[in-house]
Amino acid sequence: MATSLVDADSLLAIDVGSTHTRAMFFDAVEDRYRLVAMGVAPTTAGAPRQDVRVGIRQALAQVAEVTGRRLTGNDGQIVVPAEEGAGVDQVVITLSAGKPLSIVVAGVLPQVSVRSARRLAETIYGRLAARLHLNDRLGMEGRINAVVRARPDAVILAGGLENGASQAVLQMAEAVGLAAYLIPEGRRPEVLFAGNSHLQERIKELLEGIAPFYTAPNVQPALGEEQLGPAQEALLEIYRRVRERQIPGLQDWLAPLRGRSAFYPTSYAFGRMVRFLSRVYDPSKGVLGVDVGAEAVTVAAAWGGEGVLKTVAGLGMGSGLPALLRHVSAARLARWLPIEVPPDDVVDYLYNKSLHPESIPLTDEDLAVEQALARLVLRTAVQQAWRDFPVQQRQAFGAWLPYFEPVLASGSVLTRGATPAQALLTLLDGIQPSGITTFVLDDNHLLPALGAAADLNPVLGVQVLESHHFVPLATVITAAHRLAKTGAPILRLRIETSTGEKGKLELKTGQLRVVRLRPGQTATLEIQPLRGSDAGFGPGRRGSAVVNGSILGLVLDGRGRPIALPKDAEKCRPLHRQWLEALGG
Amino acid sequence: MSIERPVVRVMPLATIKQPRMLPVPGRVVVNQGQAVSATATVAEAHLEPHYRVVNIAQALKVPRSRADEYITCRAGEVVHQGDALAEKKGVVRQIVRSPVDGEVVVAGEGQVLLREYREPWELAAGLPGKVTRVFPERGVELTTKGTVIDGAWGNGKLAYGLIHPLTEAADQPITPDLLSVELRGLVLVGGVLDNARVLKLAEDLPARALIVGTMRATLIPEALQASFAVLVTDGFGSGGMNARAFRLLTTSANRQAAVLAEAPSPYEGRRPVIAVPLTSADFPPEPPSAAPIEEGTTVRIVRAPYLGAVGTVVSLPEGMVRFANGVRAPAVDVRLESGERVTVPVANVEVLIQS
Repeated sequence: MATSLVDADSLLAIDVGSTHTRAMFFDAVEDRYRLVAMGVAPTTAGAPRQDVRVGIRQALAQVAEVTGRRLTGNDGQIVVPAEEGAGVDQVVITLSAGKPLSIVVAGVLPQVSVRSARRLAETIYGRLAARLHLNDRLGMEGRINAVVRARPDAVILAGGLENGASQAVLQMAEAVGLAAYLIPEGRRPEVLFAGNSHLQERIKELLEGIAPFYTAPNVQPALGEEQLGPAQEALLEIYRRVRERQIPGLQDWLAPLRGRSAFYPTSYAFGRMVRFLSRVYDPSKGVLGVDVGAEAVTVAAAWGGEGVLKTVAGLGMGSGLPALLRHVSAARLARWLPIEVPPDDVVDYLYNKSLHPESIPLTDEDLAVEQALARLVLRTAVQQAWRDFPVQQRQAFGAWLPYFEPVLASGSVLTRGATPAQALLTLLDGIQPSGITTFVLDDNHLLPALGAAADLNPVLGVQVLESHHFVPLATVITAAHRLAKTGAPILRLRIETSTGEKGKLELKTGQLRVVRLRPGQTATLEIQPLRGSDAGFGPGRRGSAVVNGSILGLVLDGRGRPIALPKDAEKCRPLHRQWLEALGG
Repeated sequence: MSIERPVVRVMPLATIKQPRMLPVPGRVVVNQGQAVSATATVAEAHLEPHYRVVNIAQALKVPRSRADEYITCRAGEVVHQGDALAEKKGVVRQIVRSPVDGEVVVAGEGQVLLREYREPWELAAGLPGKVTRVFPERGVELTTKGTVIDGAWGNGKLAYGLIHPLTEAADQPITPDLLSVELRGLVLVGGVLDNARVLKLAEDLPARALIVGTMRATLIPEALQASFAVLVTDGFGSGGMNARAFRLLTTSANRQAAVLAEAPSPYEGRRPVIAVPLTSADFPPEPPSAAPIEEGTTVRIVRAPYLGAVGTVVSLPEGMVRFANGVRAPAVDVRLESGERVTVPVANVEVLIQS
């Protein structure tokens, strides 16, 4: 991009995660934005400190030390805008720390408005505390009690297509209003109405004096037509208010920055960047982003600027790890471990990690177990997100994932200590993509910062994305198939690199193969799928592609979709080792 | 810049400041400065309030708009089961009666909303001490002196009773044969809990509490079902209890111990704790909740391959250290009690406060 950066604004991004707080300082260097310095400190929102400011200040101090630039004034607050070589011009904050927001969703029909309200709730770190709808058989009394007992941080009230149901929505609003009234003032939930817009005024009359009240355009104005975007803005405001109340020190720290900074849930900022990228990249494919955190996993998928954002709160690689057992049996878990670990020991591992989420694997075995669990955490989250993918995407690809280009991934389990091969295999097994996909690692967890800064400084996002901070791991061609027999050829490939090397390759079912293609190189591929497999052009269809080199190069995955592991865990272990070795260990 | 880590207390004598907080807002029933016993109630709350909607319009078969003229109760009024809420006079007198004891919260729009009377849930002090702070509607801080041991996990129950060591070694599993009827009502201490039958037998006694060094995580569902307190000091697995905690507990045999087996919650600042109140004329130290890692700091390692090991910080390498498995992280050199010197990530240690 040729934009001049003569008067470039510096930007400080602060990301308060559940275990780590990062401070990232971006500034123009040689007419391009770059990440100049980054500080990382433990998040101090919880015990023992219970003051988020401690971790933020530690992270800021590291940035100040590296840059030699004073970022804060004598009062400890960030100097914004910058003055006389101190401070910064812009500040953005992303936050994922904190217990999931307790959210009640209420609407008319469970598969229509309630579903949309639920999907809206899952764009932030929300936990569904109750679902109320016409078929819930609770009646007015049951609904009131459900809301009161849930002690929600927020209620999302939807329902009624435009010019559709009104009585049922008003009944639901009445139950919500009465329940909110019964909760002591100061603890009442924030209530968002995003249903039939013709009822807005009447519902406002019912609820406005009782609880903090917000309205947004209908999340489902017509049957099958969902619009979460405008309601998301209102939900962001709710998220900010609740978090400022809940996270010790946050309100005080944000107060002087109000009006001079942007503050988003990390998941939202991450999803925003994925949506932005889906407008930039190949319009025939989507862009997928996955962020594996300690207490939540975020999956963002977007096609041409529109997308799905799913945050699975309570599932993650730290305190959220035991939640995996609700989704995955011990037997299935054992089949994904590359080493023999007694099932009881794995359960011990999950719970010990949840007690010390910031702890770091120190042995190869520990790392292998952590990465195996990450596959399943990722798989669980991706499968949940897939259910919310647009109907046309699900119909076109059946149970397989739609084509994505690229897949962006972040999370310390992928970036801290994992070799490129380990990171890629974790992603491949967890996501199980189809078609031709480039996997890019967001090594420093920059995407949420760039997403948060998108309004303030769109140039920054574009330029930093092109920097070396985003590591292309590999381009993967998946020959998706459901063949049970291993060893049958399913793909033939002709390759010609930019340096003139030519070659032919055959991929068999069950195989994972690598063609080294260094960063800076490109290759033209002629791809011929066999036996009806789909390599990105549709079942059995041949095609050509030009791919760029990367750390691992070109990876061919013939392991089927979904990857079918032997039932016996003992037979799975050599496969995991073999696949890792195939990628380079 | 110094690196701070959470503190874990394994102290023979300390000033113990223990917050006791309600899970939902309620009412504090003690005053600042008041001395309380372990079983005293310090606060109460309605955890699951129950509301009843009485549809007057429907019951009297009148339009909602007209029903209010028949309602005879007012918001705030205490009613008993059978009391009239609404009455329609006429040839046939119709009365709508309260289905429960409770309080009228809303009366109007053709319906009466009642808050059903239920006994409040009571928050026990858990340990004897003095109320040193009152957090209105939320809870109190109690202060006492004595032995204190921080735990890793608890099943959410409380207990106060005499300590009785069950196992001779800190890493010895509790076997069913160690449980006998004379142990009824005691706070039992053992190295490892890896047998569901032990929980069943302890329930049958019943024991007042079970304190173990480590427990198999697969037993969590059974432990959560137990009616007595289950507290794990070190974590999950079969490694057993750290030697210091085991020694403190076994030397405290036959003393009264408060076992606050609370489920750990970092955001709420909650962790399980064992307190053995002692009378002391001294003012013992009050340990901080976090402490810097420095040369000479005693630490406990919380992750394999040294899980549970205690040692002393020898040095803090500059910058990031690359470990054999490729992980890079700020590290600390620790001389373990066994004499072995190991380098571990700072994130894998807690500061152990012993005196």
